[in-house]
Amino acid sequence: MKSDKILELLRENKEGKVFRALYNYLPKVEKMIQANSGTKEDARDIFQEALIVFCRKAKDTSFVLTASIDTYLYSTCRFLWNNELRKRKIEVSDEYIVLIDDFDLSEQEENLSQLKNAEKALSQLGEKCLELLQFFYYRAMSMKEIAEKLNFSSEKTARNQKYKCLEQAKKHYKTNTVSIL
Amino acid sequence: MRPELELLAKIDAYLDNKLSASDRNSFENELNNSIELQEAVEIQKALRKGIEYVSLKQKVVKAYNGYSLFNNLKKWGGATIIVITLLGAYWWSQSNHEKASIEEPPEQITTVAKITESGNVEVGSNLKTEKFIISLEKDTVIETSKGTVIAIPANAFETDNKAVTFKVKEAITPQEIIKAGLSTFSDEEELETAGMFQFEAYADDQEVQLKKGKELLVEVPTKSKKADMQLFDGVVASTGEVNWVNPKKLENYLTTVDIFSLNLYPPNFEERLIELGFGNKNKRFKDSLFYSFFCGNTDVETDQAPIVFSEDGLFSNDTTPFANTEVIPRSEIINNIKSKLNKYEELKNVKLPYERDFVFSFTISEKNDHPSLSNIKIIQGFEDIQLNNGIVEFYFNLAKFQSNSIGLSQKVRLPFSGDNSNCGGIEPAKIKSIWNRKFQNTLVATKEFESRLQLIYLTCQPEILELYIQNLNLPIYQIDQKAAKLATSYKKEFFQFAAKKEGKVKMDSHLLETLNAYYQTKSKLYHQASENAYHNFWDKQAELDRLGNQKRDEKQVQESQRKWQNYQDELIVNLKSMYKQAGLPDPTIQQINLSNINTRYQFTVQTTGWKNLDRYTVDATQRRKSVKLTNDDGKIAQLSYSELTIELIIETKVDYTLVYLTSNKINSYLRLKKEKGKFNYFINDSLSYNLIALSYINGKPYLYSQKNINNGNHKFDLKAVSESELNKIIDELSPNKSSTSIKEDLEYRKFLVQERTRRKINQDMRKVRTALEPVIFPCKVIEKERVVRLEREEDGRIIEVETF
Repeated sequence: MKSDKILELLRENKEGKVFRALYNYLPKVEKMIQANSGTKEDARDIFQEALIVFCRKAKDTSFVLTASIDTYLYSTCRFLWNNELRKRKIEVSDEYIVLIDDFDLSEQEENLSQLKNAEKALSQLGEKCLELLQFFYYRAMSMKEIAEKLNFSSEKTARNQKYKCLEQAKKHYKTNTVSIL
Repeated sequence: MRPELELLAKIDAYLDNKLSASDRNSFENELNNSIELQEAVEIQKALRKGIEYVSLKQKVVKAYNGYSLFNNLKKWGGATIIVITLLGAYWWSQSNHEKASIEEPPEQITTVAKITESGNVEVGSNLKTEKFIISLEKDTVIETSKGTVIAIPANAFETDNKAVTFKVKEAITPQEIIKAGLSTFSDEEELETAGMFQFEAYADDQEVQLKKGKELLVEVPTKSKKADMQLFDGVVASTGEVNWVNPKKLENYLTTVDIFSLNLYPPNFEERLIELGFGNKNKRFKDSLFYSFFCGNTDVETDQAPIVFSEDGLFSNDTTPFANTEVIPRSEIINNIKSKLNKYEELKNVKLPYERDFVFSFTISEKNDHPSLSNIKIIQGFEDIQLNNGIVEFYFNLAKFQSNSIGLSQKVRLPFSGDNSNCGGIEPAKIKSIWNRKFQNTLVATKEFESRLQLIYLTCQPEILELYIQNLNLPIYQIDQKAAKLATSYKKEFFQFAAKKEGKVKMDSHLLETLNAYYQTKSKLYHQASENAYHNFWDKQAELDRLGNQKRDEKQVQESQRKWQNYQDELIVNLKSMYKQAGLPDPTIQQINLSNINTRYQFTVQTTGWKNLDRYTVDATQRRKSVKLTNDDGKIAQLSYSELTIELIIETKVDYTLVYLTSNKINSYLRLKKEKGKFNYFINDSLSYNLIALSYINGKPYLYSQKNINNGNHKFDLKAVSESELNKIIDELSPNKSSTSIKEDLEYRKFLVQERTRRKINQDMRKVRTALEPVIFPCKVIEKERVVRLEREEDGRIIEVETF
């Protein structure tokens, strides 16, 4: 798949196909991570994180790809793995630098912890609640569609339920943050 | 809506930029003034991002499943069909029964009937058909909207076209099946179903069949995997009803995963590592620790570290030069010993009846393994043993013991039969010979084996592990059955595994033989390697221990000789001075001409000189106290000693500090003792002294030196100095031979620090191994023998004195 096509698909929220294609770059990342005190499993986790980072970046219309997607993913993985190694308190050598210029490291780092926190809060929700929030916020479905899909009696109930779920997530988020402190 | 929910809606509108200009203004005003609101907005923002993140993650994982399935397909070179129907149960007995009955009332079934009555023989026409265009030139993996993943190998279909249209219909939930008019009957019997599928492939609108030998690999999402699932072919009757016939046992293949992603350690091994503080270590570390255990391990000696008490300089004139040696008050030592002894019923009542003596008492109990009078050896320092109403009292004279510390420890002995086949667990060498690349893509590399292994560890029967390895080509449930028969414990659990009817991993018999041979050879080799490494290491450590002790003993002899010599040197100076003051001839010249003697060793000063002059001089020199004598003529002879106190100002924590004095009349150096943070010494006012004070910080010397130091209180700063500068200063400030001996002393201190570190590491290592041993060899028979051990510490090291 060409990179233009990939960006286009991502902006149309058709990520599945893109991801499937991009997994072909995984072996390269596995090699890199296994050579740097990691396992295949680590490589998979890191690669998946990198896919998400890439996808979120790509959705921003101001994003310009300055390198090939391959290089971009590889560098992101290096950066993320680098971070992970630090967390595990393994010495990271200096040659371990990110190749991409416009990769704002500090922003990424901050974002990631916030995201992880949000992810944890959302995982504490019921399945239906999460689905509801995903339909609304991610897939931008109308309340009418959502009510139908999730068997709510009316749009109003669905909307009300949506905010209840959001409120719950908010509570989890807060308690999680406190417990981290 | 509740006000809280209204707020959420408002924040949403704000974040989506949907507020009117005025609303926006007032909201932003409020936002500027309220930290709470700011926080609420931040969290909502984070959650909205989080929702996107979670959604993307789901897609990423989904895509991975397709990718890995595709890769597995490539590895297997073929494919299999998995999971469809189960004979003999009703589908509504499943967990989604409730949902089904509510959402699909019986009326709907009549709708099905209508379809069939209408003579429409196309079954499942109301099911959505998904179409995929598939290139036949390469392997392809597709995923349907319901999450079913189908892997299609290249050239699977009977056609010359380069692509086919692949159509999929699926009915997975009961309501979909009923809606589709699909029955769940096999002839007259009702089926429990995990889903029904129709696959069709078309080339230019012509239906094409699978080539012989080509298979599709299908994975159906299921919440709970059931045993005994079978695959039925559907036969559409003229009535439009589908009858399910020709059941085939599913080749229930197990999915292999990366073998290194599995946890093949014994139960609780990793948990114990976390408790021991190794939670963040990588697999390489964990492996090397795990594989270092072998059958016949006997390193477990002490189950707790010996307690060591140090009374700084109480029983010897030597100083304890280590800044980090904690000085424990005498009362605390006694309390420590008491609390230690009180843990054992037979060891009680530590008394301190005399100023300088400890008394240990042991209650003699009925049991044989306790110390009794006959097998107690009197050790150095023990004055007397008395039996007093069943209590053995040890009168222990610490002054004679010549030690500044004493410790007690409990010793555990682990007898080992020497039989490798059963050493109380599964030997790690056996695991090492399967947890490697060779066993990738075999039964070992499955989650199913991982769960069996946990149980195998608990049985402590290596023959059960071997059973699985010898039968890697069999379905795992068949091995489970064999294991259940072989197991002496946990039979029930093996049967429970067998009941799951879990399948196998394809393997040809040649590979099986190769792997078995590999396992047999390697497990022996790894055992040997680990045993050798163990003995090499500990033999070397024992040798180092011996050399260390020898060096210490030599140093001790040297030290006492050196001190004696120092004393002699000073005594001569004092005697000369006293005799001179008293107007008497030099008493030493009469015996030996000192200037002609290079080595100056022990000679006694026993002259019958001036009345009592020798005795007073000897006494004053020994006690370092001033003395003033007047004879009948009114002549005065005096010696004067005055106190020198040195305080060193060091900000960081030091390794150790050493303070030396040298004097031109005294052959060797004097090393000062530290008391209450200060170094002090009574200097002989008739001699001149040079000071060399140095601390080591992280192995680097920091120095203060001064020529001709006077009595009184001094405070000095230390400055970093290079080794060569240090040597130069030592040479300058030490007369005679003392420069060499100070350097030797410094070397010895360095050696002590190394030695102490080495012994500490070994001790820690033993502790870790002791803690892990029961996890690795849970069935090892441990016979505990309580042994009281007395130890003394010298120069910061522990020497076992006697075990009894």
